[in-house]
Amino acid sequence: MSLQIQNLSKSYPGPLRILNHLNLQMSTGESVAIVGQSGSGKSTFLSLLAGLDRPDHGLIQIDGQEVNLLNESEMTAFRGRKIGIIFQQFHLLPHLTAIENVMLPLEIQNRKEIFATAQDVLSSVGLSHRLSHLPAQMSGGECQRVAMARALVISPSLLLADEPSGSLDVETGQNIMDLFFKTIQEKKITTCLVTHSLELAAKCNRRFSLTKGSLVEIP
Amino acid sequence: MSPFFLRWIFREIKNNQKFTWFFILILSLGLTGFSVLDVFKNSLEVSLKNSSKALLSADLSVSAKRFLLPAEIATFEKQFKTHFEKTRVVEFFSMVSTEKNSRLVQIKAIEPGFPFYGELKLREKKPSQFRNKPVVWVYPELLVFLDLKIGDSLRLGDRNFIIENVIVDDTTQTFRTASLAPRIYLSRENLESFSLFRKGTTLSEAYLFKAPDEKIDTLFLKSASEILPDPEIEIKTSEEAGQETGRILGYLSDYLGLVALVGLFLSGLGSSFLYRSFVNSRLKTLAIQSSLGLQKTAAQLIDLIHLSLLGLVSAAASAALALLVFPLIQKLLSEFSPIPVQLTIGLQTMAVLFFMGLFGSMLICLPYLIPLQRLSPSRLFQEQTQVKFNPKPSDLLFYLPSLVCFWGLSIWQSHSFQVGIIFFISLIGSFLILWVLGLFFLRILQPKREKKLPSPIRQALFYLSRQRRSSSTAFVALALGALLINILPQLKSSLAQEIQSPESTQIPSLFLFDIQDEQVSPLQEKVKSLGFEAKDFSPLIRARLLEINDVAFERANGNAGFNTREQEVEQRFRNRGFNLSYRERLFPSETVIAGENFYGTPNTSPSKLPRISVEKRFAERLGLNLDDKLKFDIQGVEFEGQVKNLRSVKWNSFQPNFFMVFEAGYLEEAPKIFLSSLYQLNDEQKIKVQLEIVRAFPNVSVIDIDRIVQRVLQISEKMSFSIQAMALLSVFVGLIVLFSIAQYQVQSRKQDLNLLKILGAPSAFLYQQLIAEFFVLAFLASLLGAVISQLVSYILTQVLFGGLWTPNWVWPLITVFLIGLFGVLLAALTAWQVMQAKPRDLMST
Repeated sequence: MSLQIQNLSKSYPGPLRILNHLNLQMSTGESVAIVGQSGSGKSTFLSLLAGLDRPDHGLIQIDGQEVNLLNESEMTAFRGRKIGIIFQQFHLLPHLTAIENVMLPLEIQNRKEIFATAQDVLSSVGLSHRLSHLPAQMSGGECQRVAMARALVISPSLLLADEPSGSLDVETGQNIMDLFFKTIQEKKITTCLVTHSLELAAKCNRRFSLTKGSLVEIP
Repeated sequence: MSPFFLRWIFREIKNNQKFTWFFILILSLGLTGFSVLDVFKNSLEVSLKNSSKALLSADLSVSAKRFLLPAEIATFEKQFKTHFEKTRVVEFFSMVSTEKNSRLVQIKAIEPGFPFYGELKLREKKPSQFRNKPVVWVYPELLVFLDLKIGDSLRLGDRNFIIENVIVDDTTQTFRTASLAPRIYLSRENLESFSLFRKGTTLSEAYLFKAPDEKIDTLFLKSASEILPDPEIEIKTSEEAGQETGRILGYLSDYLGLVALVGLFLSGLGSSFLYRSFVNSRLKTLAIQSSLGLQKTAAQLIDLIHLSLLGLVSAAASAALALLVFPLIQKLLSEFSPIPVQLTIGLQTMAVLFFMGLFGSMLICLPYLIPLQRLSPSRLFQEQTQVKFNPKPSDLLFYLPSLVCFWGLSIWQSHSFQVGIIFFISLIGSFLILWVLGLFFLRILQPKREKKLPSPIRQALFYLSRQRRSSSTAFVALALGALLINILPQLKSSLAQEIQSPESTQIPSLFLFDIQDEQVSPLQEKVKSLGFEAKDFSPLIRARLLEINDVAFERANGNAGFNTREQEVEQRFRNRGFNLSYRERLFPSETVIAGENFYGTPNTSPSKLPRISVEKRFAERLGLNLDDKLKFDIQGVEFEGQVKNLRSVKWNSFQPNFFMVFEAGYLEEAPKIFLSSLYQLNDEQKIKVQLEIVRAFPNVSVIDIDRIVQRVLQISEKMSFSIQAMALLSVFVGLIVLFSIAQYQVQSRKQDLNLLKILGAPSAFLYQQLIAEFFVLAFLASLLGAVISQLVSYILTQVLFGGLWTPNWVWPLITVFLIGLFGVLLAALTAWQVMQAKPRDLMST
C-alpha cells in the first residue's frame, strides 16, 4: 500500500493555518513517526488521513485512491475496509466483550468467519484468555491490546496510531509498543504513528517533526 | 450565601443545560397532574362553599325517609334560642302520564318560603296560580320526553295537573348526571288531596330552617342529634349539603389523584435517572474539588441549592402547564358540577406545588447525593480514565424517605388508608415486577454467537442486554405507562359488557316499585292480561337497626378535619334506615359464600331466631359476622334475627336485591311494599305496559332499566374520560422520560456512536441499530405493560366487582403499536442527532 500526500493544507477559523502545504510519501510496509508539540496539528493530520475531516487544499492518495474525492458515505466504507486506527484512550465499546469489540469492524462489513478471525487476532496480541471480558474487567494494557487487535483485524492497508502507549505505564507501554512494531513488521502494514516519544519514533523507518504546519524529517 | 456558591451553581446550570432542561421538563410534567387536580379540588370546594346555602335552600334541614312527627320537630325546635323561619318539602318518585306515554319523575312538593336561598328560575314571567290550583312546574326535559308544552296537562296519581311553567335553573339541584328522573314541583297542599301515598311508599320529608343570626355549629348539631337519636332522621347544615354534593366529585378526584401519582412516580423515576447520570458525569470534578480543599458538606450544599432551584422552577412551570389544561377541566366540571365553578390557581395550590418541587426533587436525588460523602480524591490517582463510584447495598436505605412520602401522598390523595396502601403496594409491586421482568427480558435479548442476525440488530441487542441498568429505567417507565393506560379501558369495557349483558343473568326491561300488598295479585293479573309476566316479587320492609349483639347501634357524627372515605361511608351507613326483605329461595344473581344456605330448610339453631342472609360488603362495612344477633325496629315493633349466611350479589342484574334478607315465615305480617320486574319487552311494549300500569295503579313507579343502563354507561364514560385524560398525562410523562433518557444517553454515547462511524459503519447501520434498540425497548415494555394490565384488571374486577372480566385485546394492541411507533420516531430523531456529530472529535480525546 502506498500513501501519497501532496500540498496538504488545513486551517480552522482564526488566523492560524494548522497544516501548510504538507507533503509526504510512504511505501508499502513503511512506518513513519510524526512528533510534535501539543497543538502542532498531529491529530488534525491523522483526522485528514483517516478521512474524518476534509483538507482545504491538497491531495491524499491511499492505494491509488484519491480519498478526498470520495463522498462521506464512500469514505466511511473505504475507511472500514482499508484503515485501522488505534487511539490513545483505547475507545472500546464498554458493553462489548474483547472478542465482540474486535469482531465489530468485520460485522460492519458483513465479512464471514468473523469469530475465528477475531479470535486469531486477539490470540496474536496475547489475549486468547480474555475473549469474554468486558473492558471494565481488563487492565489498561489489555484494553490497548484489544484496541490494537480491533485495528488489525481488517488487515488494514494503512494503520494510524495516536499515542498508543500514552495512557499506559512505562513497562506496559513498552510491551505494547514492542508488540505493535512486531505486528506491523510481520504483516507489512503501512503505519503512521503520532507520538511525543522520540524513543518510540526511533523504532519507525522514518521520523518527521510537525512544525508550523509542515513536516520536517528528523535524521 | 457566598458569591462563590452562587457562581458555582449558575456555572453548573450553564454547563449542564441539557440536564437542566430535561430535569425541569420531567419534574414539571409530573407535578402538572397534581397542580391540575389541586386547582380542580380547591375551585370546586370554594364554589360549593359559596353555593352551599342555595344547594340546601336553607341553613339547616331535618329530614327522614318518612313523614316526620310534629312532636319530633317541636322537640328539635326547642333548641333554637331565637325564631327560625321554617318550610316543609316532600320528595318522592312517581309516574306521570299523558294519553300516549308515561315517565318516572322526582316530585318535590313545596310550601311557601321555599327556597330560602337560591332560586327556581322560571321560563315565563307571569303571575302564578301555584299555591291555589293544581298546577306544576317541570324541568324542560320532561316536555321533550312526553311531547308536552306549557298549558298542557299531565296525570299524576289520580289527578290531572296543568303545566304552568318550566324551570330553567334550579339552584337546589345537586348532581345533574345522577338525576335519573326529571323534577316536577307542585304545592304541598296538592299532596293531601290525591292518592299517591300508601303505606310504605318511598318518600322523604324535610323541614328546612332559615337561621336569623344564630350560629349553627358542630356543638349545636351534636346536641340536636342527641335530641333526635333516630338514625333515620338526618340533620344537615348547608355546609354539609355542599360537601355531600361534592362527594361524587370527591371520589372522582380521589381516583384522578391516584392516576396523577403514577405520573409523579414516573417523573420521579426519570428525574432520579437523570440526576444519577449527572452525578456520574461530575464525579471527576467533585474529586478534583475535594482535592483542592472544598469541604464535602459545602459541595453537597451547592448540590442541594442547585436541586432546590430546579425544583422551584419545575413547580412554576407545572403551574403554567396547569393553566393550559384549564379548558379541559372546565369542560369536565360543566359535565359534573351542579354549580358554576370559577377555576383559579390559589395560594394553597402554589404552596403545595413549591413544597413538592422543592422537597420532592431533594428526596428523589437523596440516594445519589448522600453516598457522595464517600467519594475520595484518591480515585484521581487511579489508572482508570473515568472516576467511578461504587454504590453499597446500604445506599438503598436512602430511597426510604421518598417511599414513605409517596405512601403518605397515596393516602392523602385517596382519602383512604385502605385504598392508599393498596395503591402504594400495587404501584411499588408493579414497579418491582416490571423492573425484574425488564432486567430478565433485556438479559435474554443478548444474542448468541452462533445466531445469525443482521449486524445492526445484533449490536442493538448487545447494547440493550449489557447496559441493562439504564435501559431498565426507560423500560419500567414505559411499561408502567402502558399498564396504566390499558387498565382503565379494560375495566370500563368489562363493566360495560357486564352491565349490558351480565353473565348467567338476564336483565329485566322494567322495574316496578311501591307496589302495595293488596296490589300484588291485581298487578300480576293486569300484566298477564297484557301478555307478560311480573316476576321476582320481593317485599321491602323499612326498619331501624337498634342493636348488634345487644349493643346499641348508635348514630355517628362526623369529625372536623380529615376524614377517610371509609369513615365517611361508616357514618352514612350508621345514619340510615335499612330495607329488609324475606325470601324462600335465592335469586340467580345471589350466591351464598359463607354460612348455611338455609332456604327451604327447617330452623334448627338453638336460639330459634329468624335467620338472616347479609350481603358480604354490607357485612364488612357494619362489621357483622356469622351468628351475630341483630335487633330491628319495624314501625314501632322490635324484631330480632341472627346472621346465618353471607351472600355475594350481582347488583348489575337489576333484580330486586337487598343487603339483608330474612328467611320466609317471620316478616310476612310487617308493613311492606313490593318490588317486581318484567322481562323481554321491546320499546313499544315497554311504553304500552308502563302506561297501562300507571293508569291502573297510579302509586306504582316504573323504571325503564335500558334507560338506566344507558345513563350509567354515560356517567362511566364521562368519568372515565377524565381519568383517561389523567392516565394519558402519565403515559405522556412516561414517553417524555424515555425521550429524556434517550437524549441524555445520546450525549453519553456520542463517543461510542462516533467510534462506529470511524470503524466504517455507514449511516444506515447506525439508523438501523438505534431504531432496533428503541423499538425493541418500547415494544417489549409496552407489550409487558399491556399483558400485566390484563392480569391486574382481572384481579381488580374479581376483587371489586365480583368477577366481570371480559378480555379486550384491541386497545392493548393499539397502545403497543403506538408506543412501538414512538420508539421508532425517537430512534430516528436520535440517529439524526448522531449523524450531525463529527467523528474527528474522537481524535482529540
